[in-house]
Amino acid sequence: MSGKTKILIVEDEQSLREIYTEYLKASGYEIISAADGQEALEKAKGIAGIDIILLDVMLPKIDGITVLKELKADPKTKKIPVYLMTVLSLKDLEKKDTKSEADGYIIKDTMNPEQIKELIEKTLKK
Amino acid sequence: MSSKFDSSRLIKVILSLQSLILNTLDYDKVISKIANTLLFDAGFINLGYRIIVLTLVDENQRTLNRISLSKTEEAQKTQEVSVVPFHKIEIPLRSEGNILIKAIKNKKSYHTNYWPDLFRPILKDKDAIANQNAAGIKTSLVMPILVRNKSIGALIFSMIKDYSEVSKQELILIKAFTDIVSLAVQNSKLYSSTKTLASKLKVANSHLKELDKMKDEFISIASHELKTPLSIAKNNLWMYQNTAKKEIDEKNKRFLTETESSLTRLQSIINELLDISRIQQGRMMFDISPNNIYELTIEVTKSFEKLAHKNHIDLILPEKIKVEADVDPVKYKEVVENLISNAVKYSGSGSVRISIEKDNKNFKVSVTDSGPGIDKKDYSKIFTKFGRATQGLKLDGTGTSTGLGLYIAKSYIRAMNGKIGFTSQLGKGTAFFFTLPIKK
Repeated sequence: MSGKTKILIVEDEQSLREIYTEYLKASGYEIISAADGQEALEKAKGIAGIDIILLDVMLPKIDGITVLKELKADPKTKKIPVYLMTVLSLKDLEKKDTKSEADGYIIKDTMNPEQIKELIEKTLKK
Repeated sequence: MSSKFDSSRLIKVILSLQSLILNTLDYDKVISKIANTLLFDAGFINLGYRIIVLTLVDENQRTLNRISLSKTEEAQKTQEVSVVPFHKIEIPLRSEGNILIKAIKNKKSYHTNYWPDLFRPILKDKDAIANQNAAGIKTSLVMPILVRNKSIGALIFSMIKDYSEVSKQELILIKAFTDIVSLAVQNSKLYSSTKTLASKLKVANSHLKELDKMKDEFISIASHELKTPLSIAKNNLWMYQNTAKKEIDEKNKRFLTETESSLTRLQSIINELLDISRIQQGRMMFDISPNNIYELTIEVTKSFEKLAHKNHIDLILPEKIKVEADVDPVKYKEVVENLISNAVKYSGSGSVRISIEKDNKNFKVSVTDSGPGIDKKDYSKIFTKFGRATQGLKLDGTGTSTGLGLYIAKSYIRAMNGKIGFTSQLGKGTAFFFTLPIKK
C-alpha cells in the first residue's frame, strides 16, 4: 500500500460533510466525499484503494442500508470496512438487522470528529 | 272455536312472552313474535283475532307511526290493497277523528267497526274501508301503551267478530299483553340507544387510537429530524472550540460553554422523547444479562462526583455488597443515573446517599437526598409523563428537567420485574428506591 489512507465520506448534510472532511484531511488522510447513495456506489466501485467508508444511513437517491448491502455483495468492495453514520441510537440500529454487515457505527450526535478519527485509527491498526 | 282459556296454558304463554322480551332485542322481531304468541300459542286466532299492529309515537315528528304488523294472512291482504304502504302511515298527533290519537291522549282503550277511525287523515275514508274489507275485519280494539303513565304508542287488535262477542277474560288478557309489549318496547328502545351509543363510542375510540398512533409517530420522526441539526450544531461548535487558530478569550469561552451545555440538554430531551415513544409503541428492547449490581451502581455514582462537588453536595457512595441480578445494564444505569441526577438537582446543598441492600429474593437501591421533600399534592404526579414536583427545583441550567425521567425509570424497572417508589418528608428530604429480583 502506498501513500495516504483513503477515506470515502458519504454524507448528504453539507456542513457535516465539510467538518468531517476538513478534520480528517488535517489529520493526514486523503478524503473522497459523496453526497448521496448513488454517488457513493459509483465512487466506491470506481476509485481504487479506498481503505475505509463512512456511510450515512439516511441518504437521497439510494439509502445507506442498500448501499451497504451492495458494497458487501460486490467482491471488489466487500473487504472495505464500512462505518454507518446515523442519528439513530444503537437501540434502533440493532433492530434494523444491519449489525452483521456494518463494521461499526458512528452516532453523529454523540461522537465528535476526534472520536471518529480515533475509531478510524483503531480500525486501520487491525 | 274454544272461548275458554286454561289458566296454566296462559301462564306458560305469559312466561314465554317474558323470556321473548328478554332474549329478542330487535323491535320488529320481538313485536311480531309476541303477536304470533298471542294469536297462535294463546289461541286468539281461534277467537277471531286476525291482525295485531304496533304503533309508536315519534316525539320529533309529532306523529304516531305504524311500526310492526302481525304475520297473518289478513294483514298481508290489507297491505296488498292499501294505497299507502304500512310504514308510511304516520298520523299527526294533533289529528282529530282518529281513535288511535284519542286512545293515546286519554290513555284509554277504544274500539271501532269503521276503519277510517284508524287511518284519518292519511287515508281517505273509502281507501280505509277498502283495507278493512280486504281482511274482512269487523272490529278493531285500540289499547294505549303506557310507560310510567305516559302513552308511548298504541296496539290495534283487529278481529272478524263484533265487539259484543269479546269476553271479559279476553280483555284482561289483551291488557296483560299490552303491558308486556310496553316492556318489550322499552327494552328494545334501551337496547337500540345503547347500541347507538356503543357505536358512537367505538368511532370515538378508533379516532383516539389513530391520534395516539399519529402522536407516537410524530414523536419518533420529529426526534430524528431534530437530531440531525443538533449534530451539525454540536460538531460545528466542537470544531470551533478545538481547532480555532486564535486563542478564544474567557468571555467568548463562556458563551461557547453555555451553548454546549444547552445542546447537551436539548439532546437529552430528544433522547427522552424517543425513549417514551419506544415505550409507548412497545418497541423498547431489553437486553437482559447477569450483572454485578454493585459495580454498575458505583460506576454511575462516581460519574456524579464532579457535579456533586460543584454543587457542594456530599455524595455518599454505597457500601460494598455482593449482588448479582439479571438486568439490562444500560437501562439499569439509566435508572440509577436518573435518580441520582434528580437528587442532585433537588437537593440544594446537603447530601445524596446511595445505598444497596438485599434479602433472599430482592435487592433494593435507594437514593436519599436532603432536599425540600415532595408535597403530598404532588405525589400522584411523580411517575407520570411530564409530571414533576413544584417545590425545590432549581431553575439554573442544572435544574431543568423534562419530567420524563421518572416515567421512563418506572417503565424500565417494571419491565425488569421490579418496583419503584419513594418516601418523602417535607423539609427533610426524599428517598427514591427500587427493588429488583436477585439472581438465584
